[in-house]
Amino acid sequence: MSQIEHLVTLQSPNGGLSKSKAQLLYWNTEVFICNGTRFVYVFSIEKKHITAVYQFPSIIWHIELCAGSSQLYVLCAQNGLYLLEWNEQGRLLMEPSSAMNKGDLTVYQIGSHFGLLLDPSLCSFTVANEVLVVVLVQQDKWKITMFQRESLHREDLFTAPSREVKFSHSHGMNSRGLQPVLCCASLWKEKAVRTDAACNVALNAVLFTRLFGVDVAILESPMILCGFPDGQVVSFPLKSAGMHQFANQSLSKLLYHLEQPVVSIGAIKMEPCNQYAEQPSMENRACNCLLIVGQKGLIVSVTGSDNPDAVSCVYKDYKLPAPVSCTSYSASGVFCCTSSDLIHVTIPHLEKEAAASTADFTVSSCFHNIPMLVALSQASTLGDTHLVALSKRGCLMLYKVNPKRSADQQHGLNCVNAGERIKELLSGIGSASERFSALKTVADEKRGSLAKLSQAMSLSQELLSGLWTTCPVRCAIRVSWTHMLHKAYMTVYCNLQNNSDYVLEHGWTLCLLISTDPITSYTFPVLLLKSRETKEFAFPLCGQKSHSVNFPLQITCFLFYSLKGFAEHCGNPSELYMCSSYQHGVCIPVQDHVLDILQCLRLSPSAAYCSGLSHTFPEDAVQAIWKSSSESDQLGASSMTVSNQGSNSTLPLKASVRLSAVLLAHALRNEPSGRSLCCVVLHWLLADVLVKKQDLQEVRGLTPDGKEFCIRVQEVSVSHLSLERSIQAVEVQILSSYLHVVAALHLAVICRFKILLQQDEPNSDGLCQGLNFQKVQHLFTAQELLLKEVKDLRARLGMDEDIICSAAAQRLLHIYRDLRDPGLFFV
Amino acid sequence: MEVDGETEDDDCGTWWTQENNSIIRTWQDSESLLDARIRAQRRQQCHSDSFHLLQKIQGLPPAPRTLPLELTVLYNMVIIHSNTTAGGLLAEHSVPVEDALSRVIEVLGQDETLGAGRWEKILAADHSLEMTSALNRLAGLQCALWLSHGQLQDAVDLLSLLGRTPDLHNCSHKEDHLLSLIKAWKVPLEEPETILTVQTTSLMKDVLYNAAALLQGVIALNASDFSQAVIFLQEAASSLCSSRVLADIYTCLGCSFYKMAKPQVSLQYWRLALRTDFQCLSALYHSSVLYHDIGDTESELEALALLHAALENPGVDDSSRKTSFPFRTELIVSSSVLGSFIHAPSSFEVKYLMARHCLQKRSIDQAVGHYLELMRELQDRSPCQGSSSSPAPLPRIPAIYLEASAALLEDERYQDVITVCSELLDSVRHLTSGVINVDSLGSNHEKAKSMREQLNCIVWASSAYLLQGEAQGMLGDHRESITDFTRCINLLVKVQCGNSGSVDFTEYKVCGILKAAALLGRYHQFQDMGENTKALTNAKLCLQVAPAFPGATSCLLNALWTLGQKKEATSQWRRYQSNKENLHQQWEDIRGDLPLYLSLIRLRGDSMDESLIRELEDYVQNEEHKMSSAGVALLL
Repeated sequence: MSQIEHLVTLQSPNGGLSKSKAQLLYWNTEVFICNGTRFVYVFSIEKKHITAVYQFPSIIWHIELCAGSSQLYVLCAQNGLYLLEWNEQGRLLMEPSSAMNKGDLTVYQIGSHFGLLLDPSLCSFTVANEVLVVVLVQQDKWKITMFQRESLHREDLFTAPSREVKFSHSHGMNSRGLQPVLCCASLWKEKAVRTDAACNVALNAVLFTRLFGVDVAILESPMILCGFPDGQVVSFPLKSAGMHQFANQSLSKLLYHLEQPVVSIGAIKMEPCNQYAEQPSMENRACNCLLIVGQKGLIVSVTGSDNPDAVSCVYKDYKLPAPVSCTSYSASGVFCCTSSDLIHVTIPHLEKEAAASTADFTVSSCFHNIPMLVALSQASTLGDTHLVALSKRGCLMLYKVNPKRSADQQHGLNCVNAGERIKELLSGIGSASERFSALKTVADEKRGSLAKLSQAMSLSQELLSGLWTTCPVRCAIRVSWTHMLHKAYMTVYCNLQNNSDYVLEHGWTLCLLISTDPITSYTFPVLLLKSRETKEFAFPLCGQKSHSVNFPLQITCFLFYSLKGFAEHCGNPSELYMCSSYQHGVCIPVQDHVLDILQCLRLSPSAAYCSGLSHTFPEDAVQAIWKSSSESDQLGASSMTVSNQGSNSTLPLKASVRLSAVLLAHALRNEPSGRSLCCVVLHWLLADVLVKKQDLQEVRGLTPDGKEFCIRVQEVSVSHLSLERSIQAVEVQILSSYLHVVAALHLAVICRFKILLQQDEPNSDGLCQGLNFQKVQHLFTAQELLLKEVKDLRARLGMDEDIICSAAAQRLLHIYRDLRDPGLFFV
Repeated sequence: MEVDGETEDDDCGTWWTQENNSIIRTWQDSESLLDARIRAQRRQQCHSDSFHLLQKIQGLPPAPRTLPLELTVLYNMVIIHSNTTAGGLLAEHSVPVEDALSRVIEVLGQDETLGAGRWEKILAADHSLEMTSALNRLAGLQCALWLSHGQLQDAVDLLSLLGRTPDLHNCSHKEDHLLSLIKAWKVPLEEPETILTVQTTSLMKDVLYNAAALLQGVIALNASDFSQAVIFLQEAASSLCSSRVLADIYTCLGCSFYKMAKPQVSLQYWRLALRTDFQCLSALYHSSVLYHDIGDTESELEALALLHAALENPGVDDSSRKTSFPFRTELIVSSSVLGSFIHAPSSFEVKYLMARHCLQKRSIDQAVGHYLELMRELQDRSPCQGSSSSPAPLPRIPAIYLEASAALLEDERYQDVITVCSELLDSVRHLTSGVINVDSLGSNHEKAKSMREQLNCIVWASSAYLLQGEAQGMLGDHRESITDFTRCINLLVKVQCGNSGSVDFTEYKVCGILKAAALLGRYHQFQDMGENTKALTNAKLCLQVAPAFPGATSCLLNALWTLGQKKEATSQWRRYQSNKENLHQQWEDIRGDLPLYLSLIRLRGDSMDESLIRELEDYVQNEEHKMSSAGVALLL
């Protein structure tokens, strides 16, 4: 089981730890920590706390331990190399500048008298056997110098180096503040290695010889490998006694160019194909694979190939998916820290060249979601691998990794940030659900709009495709009178009936166009009209000026569906385009109605009361007063109008229409019988205003503009047309004191009858018998002349504004008088 | 800095002068310090102080009154700095000089122009006495800077300006011109001055003369104009310089005479150099080379031994010498200029040379001793200095090991041979896999390098097997010996040759010789074991591979004779007789190309076995008799 144990938290410098400066060294149950500050901390794993802190003059870049001689070399930035030495009891051999005790902890101030090589251009170093190798940075090159460790005295700060090697660096990569990485590689020997030999890497003979050459291998000289921040990896021998530049070989060799900064150089033993062999302890095993790890995730492995025909090394590139901040080498692989993961990389043993092309390296993740590590070190090599790691925030942790089991991919949550992770997840859920609900609302809206639109379209289609008579949406018009403040108002009621299967919802409006002068229109929003329901809309019909209403009135109804709301909902431009052709809405004509004067009459109380009247008509006494008032009105306006009345105000004007009884009977056969024909006719004429079925033959009332009238229906016989006998006819008499009233009613009645008789099929039997065709013809011709004359006069009237006093008007009136009494005869 | 004395005058110039003088006094005092570290510290302090002082002075606009002081301080600062850092007069020193010149021009109120024109303008104007002496000093420094960068013509121009002599003799006496100009340079008298200098101008003039002479001598030497070089160097030798430089001058003189084929004179000079400076090891080395050339191996070895001893015990470090002037020739003429004339090889190289010469001379004991010592030193010793190129670089380590084994073989220390060879083989065998086609060696550069290395490794490994086989054979372990010879041949088989045209390749020839030697070795072993048929096969193969290999024919004859194939033997003998001269010539040709360890291979049987020859002759005669008698009988 992989375990993480949190050891201690260090104070980290502002802005977190920079990656390349932190380091951990493990020695003898103590961990030396440098975290990019001026301090080196010594943490004791047994006591589980920091035991000592050493403060140096400037930021520490690199530390290295020489375990055999209990020495710690410390490189301070822009300052130089310092040396700390301890005796067997753990005391410093030299007195520090000051030592403060804080409980269990001692803080030592290290001054310049601990300095070994004070040179501000030192940027990296390593200790290899008795030699100290340092890297100095100069303007355009790196200089690697070697010193004999014994020859370095603290007193003499100007020791001449024993050897120098120079390398030039590529442009532009030096400014990142990265330091070169040094590694000492030696040839592995079966004899026990000297304990104080600080060569970190022992390569087997094949790899060593093939990589570095025969001369170095024979002399068993350790090689220094240096990885520069510009990606160059160079090597040169430590023992170069006598080996100068040969004809074909130069002393220092460029091994590889990573083209990315080098993080570390080390060596591992490649995994053999069969993993059953037990792994012995690390000291006696030679590594057979050199690894160079680049900062951007490139790992280069250098192996001596097993191919019997090859004499050179095999370089293979492996790419990690993430940049690497620090590494630690174990026997079988390398632990790489990326920004979120600690991975263990093992290189498979390539047995055959042919299989090498498809063989991939094994990357097994040890931990996920660990805090970013900046330093890593092996803590022990027995059994499980222990790693000590320093996170970016300064937490020192102990990882117990079992690399064999790490293939199980344990996604353990680090207890340190489990809480944070849960919070993160929950907030993620919250935000996701918010987004979802917002989206859902929008989707619902869209759906609703689309459903409405679809309904509207379907309804429109149905309405438009059908005939007028079968239209599922119909509206019926009726008129009623209301009284308000001693005035009578005519109200038109429009009854909208939805016989379709669709619901007329929000968006539909009923529009009515009334052909008054000027044209009036009313719009009523249909908020909700469900299927098989009706709704009534009322509007006044020119209340104040009812006398100027010219009947018949044309009322056009249509339904309008507004698409303006849709355009806002449509986010998609293509949908918008579709709507743009219907910029306002869909308009469906429903029905046309004709409102004639007969529907708007106010009958006297003796006849019947009309629907919708709240109170009864005034009585005759009131009527008398009305008449007198109207007369006075009339007299007042007499100069303007042709006398509407007859010269004798008491004698009403009369217009009559006669229809053949047979004809009428036939035409009105659908009406409920049981009454005399005259009643039927009267009822039929005034169906809208007469409700009760009474046996009436005469009605009196008021026209919409308040003028009295009387309609009488009686039976007469007409003899002048027929030869043999007289034709039974029904005569409708219209009586009123006013000519315009008579004329309007006359016209309305005639129109009605006309419509009635045109609707009906002509009954061919019996009607035309006994007619004196000559007489008829004579009448026809006479009336044709009259018609022509009327037309002419009308044309003249149309052109001539001043009609009132003209002779044409007089003539027209004269003609009309002739026509109206006796009136026309419908046969 | 402490300002000593009272301030008489409230003046910057006075303060600065006092500061300068205290710096100079500190410098002069530090000369007497014994502790090198403290001395170095003091000197460093002097440098930083003088640098700061110069900065202070140059912070203000230049004034005629303080200008001499400024120039002097600059002069002091540059000389101090070149003393405290390695490398002498550096390019960066010319920058402050240029700045100072600009300031002078500014004071003179003239327009700013480039480089050399400045000096003209400056020197053309009138100056006070102080100014003149300061300018002279600076001019001297400028010449030194130019000389150190090899800009001789600029120095000539400046000096001619100083001397106000027109550049009349241009063509013919060009070489002497610089020196004569320096001589003609009138340095203003140095009265006890208020402003102290780290070195007086007259001394500087002498040093300049010496440096110029030496420089020109070395240039002539590099240009192979030896006689002229001699003239210059002798001039240099007669002028002011330290003993070390004098020794170097003598060394160069010796080299010139040596190149002029006057060995005795050169030897004389080298001895002179050694007498002047015990540490002048290059002279010793050159003498050893001379002895080698004239064939006096004893003296050569003696010289080399001395050289080695001197290298092993370095003695007192030069830099702690107290008797050097602040301004000296070494600053101007750096050791890199003198180049190969004054470099001595390292102790390893000397050791190797000794070992090799002993081996070549066949003084085997000494050779073995030297080789073993060398190998031990290479293994144990840490690196020493030696970044610059050596006149006698070491060969490859495997070659050294092989030579050591050959020496051991000659010395009959067979077990040691086996040890050394196996050590070599342990490392080399990793690089010997793969087939090499000799044709492709000339083509692609990168591949050719690695192939050449591989070829080298194969040659070394097979040589090691050969030597091991010989040793085993000598120890009496025939089987092991045959195994080693077989391994040698197996390795050599990997070297293949496409066209027959490229057989001229040296390595290929060497491989042939190795193969022949191994085959012959096997022959001997088989013969010793009594397997004569196999021995014959091997002998036949050997003759096929390298007909000119000495001993091939005789071994074949021997084998044939032993097996009783007398007729065959006779024909081979006859063939050999006719072709003898040719084969001998061939072998001599090849022998020159062989590496040392191969050319010493004890070629057993290279001289014909006398008894065998007699038998052969007898046999031939008998046959002839038989033939004639048979012919006679037939006639009858």
